[in-house]
Amino acid sequence: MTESRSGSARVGRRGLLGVGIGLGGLAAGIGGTVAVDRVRTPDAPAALVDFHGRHQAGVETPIQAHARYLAHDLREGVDADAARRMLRLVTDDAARLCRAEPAITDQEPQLALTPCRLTVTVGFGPGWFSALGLTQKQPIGFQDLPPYEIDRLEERWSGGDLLLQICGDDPLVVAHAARHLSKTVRRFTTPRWVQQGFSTPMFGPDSPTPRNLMGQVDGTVNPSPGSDDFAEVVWAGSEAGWFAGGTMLVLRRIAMTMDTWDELDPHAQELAIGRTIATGAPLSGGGEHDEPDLTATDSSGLPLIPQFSHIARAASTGRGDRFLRRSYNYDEGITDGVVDQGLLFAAYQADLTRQYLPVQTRLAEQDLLNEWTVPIGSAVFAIPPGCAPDGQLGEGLL
Amino acid sequence: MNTTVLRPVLAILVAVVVAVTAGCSSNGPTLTISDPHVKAMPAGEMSAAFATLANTTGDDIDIIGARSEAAETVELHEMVMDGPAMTMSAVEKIVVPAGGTIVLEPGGLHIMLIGLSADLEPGDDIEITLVLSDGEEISFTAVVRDMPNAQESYHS
Repeated sequence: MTESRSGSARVGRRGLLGVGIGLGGLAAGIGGTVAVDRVRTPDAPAALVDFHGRHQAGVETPIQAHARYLAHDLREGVDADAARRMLRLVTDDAARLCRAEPAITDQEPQLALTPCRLTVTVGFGPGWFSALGLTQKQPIGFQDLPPYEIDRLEERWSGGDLLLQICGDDPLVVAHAARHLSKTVRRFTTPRWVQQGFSTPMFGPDSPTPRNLMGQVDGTVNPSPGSDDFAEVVWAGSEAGWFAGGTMLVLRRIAMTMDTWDELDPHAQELAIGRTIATGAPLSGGGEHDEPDLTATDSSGLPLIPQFSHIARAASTGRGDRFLRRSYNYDEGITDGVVDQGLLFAAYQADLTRQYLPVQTRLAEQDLLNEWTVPIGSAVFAIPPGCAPDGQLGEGLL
Repeated sequence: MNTTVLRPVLAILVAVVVAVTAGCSSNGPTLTISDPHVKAMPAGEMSAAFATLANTTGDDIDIIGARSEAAETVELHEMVMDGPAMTMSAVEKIVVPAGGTIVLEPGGLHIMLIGLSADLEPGDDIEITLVLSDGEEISFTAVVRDMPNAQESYHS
């Protein structure tokens, strides 16, 4: 757990006769089983996603089956130096766990060993920057969302200084990573909330678009992983300084009022969304990935895609208002006698002010789907760039 | 007097192993020390350091002592069953067998630090030097970690 420079006085005096690359380092740098976070074919999912790189994993990674988001608040008195020490430990733990190796001090090391595309993604809320005296370095465009009339936000699902987003295809491995990392950060933070979600996993661009609990395909218009378009939409550019290679996450807990949704017949449901449920094709025709024609009308002159349907309101205006949707479903069973299901809506973009807010404003003003969807949680996090194997998350900021 | 930079370094990820050559000649004993870590504790208290020690040579390596500027006294210890309870006792040496590996871990062999000179804060580093029977010394840097276990070391 150190670098060669710190080897020893004795070694320094004599010259280093042999600096070994550790077992862990070997696995990270040289081992043949380590996969990169890139496009893969559906029939050959790679079991490991490289933790290191220019960008953090867990964003461009095709969505895994399980997610756990853990928000924490910094403890009183934690300063930039302490935050840096914490991120040092988080980085080390995460890198090991993502290699399917136990973390140092791992108390259930057996639970770390199953390769399941585990990713650990770290983010900073607005309170992170203010508590650490780093508001000057807060990325441009990063801010809390304004209140919306549709919001019914609950404190228990909102805000947070530090986010750990943990995704993987094996729920036990995800739970273990979450538990271990929670212990690593607890000296520095207090837990604020935990949200869990699930999805049909994707293994590459050819995987079918996952569906939400209303049955709709969700994420059709996403930029394609690995493309220039994706990079432009999601990753902050060089003008962002230390934040270059990072992204901004808007995470909203959207409750679905399933019981009233169920009262609609299928066609009414399709009119609310603007797509067919079965194929995800826009109601203007074609296939799932064909561009919706918002001007198309039926024989009586009515728009095929209602003006206030979800996709009509969410459609990009061509002024940079696009983002990556990487949402998970949640299902907490029955709460207070009512079905408690919904969506952990997760939007990633290089600049949330420029790209996200225009869309959210339009949807909050008018969206037929608002009748059956209620935002009950909201949080924003700046996801810093990734790090090299000899680096740590947050470098450049702390 | 040589000093080593103890500022926490960024490069803890690749250098999972501090591989330090103990001998001054190419055929001297070689010990690799991987994942060294030490329990976070306040100044004045005791702590313990853990690591995996691998002997890549054909000869046993005897560790007969240790020291650190982070503590007044540093001893080699093991946990042993004393009736129904585990208790700690000092050992004269730790033998890393030829071609073998010894794990220093909670509940087993460990390096005891007694009388910490400063708070050991998670994410910081301390330097520890092992003394071998042939007089060679090996220094390594251990990262401070919160460890809910490793409690037994502090009861005696």
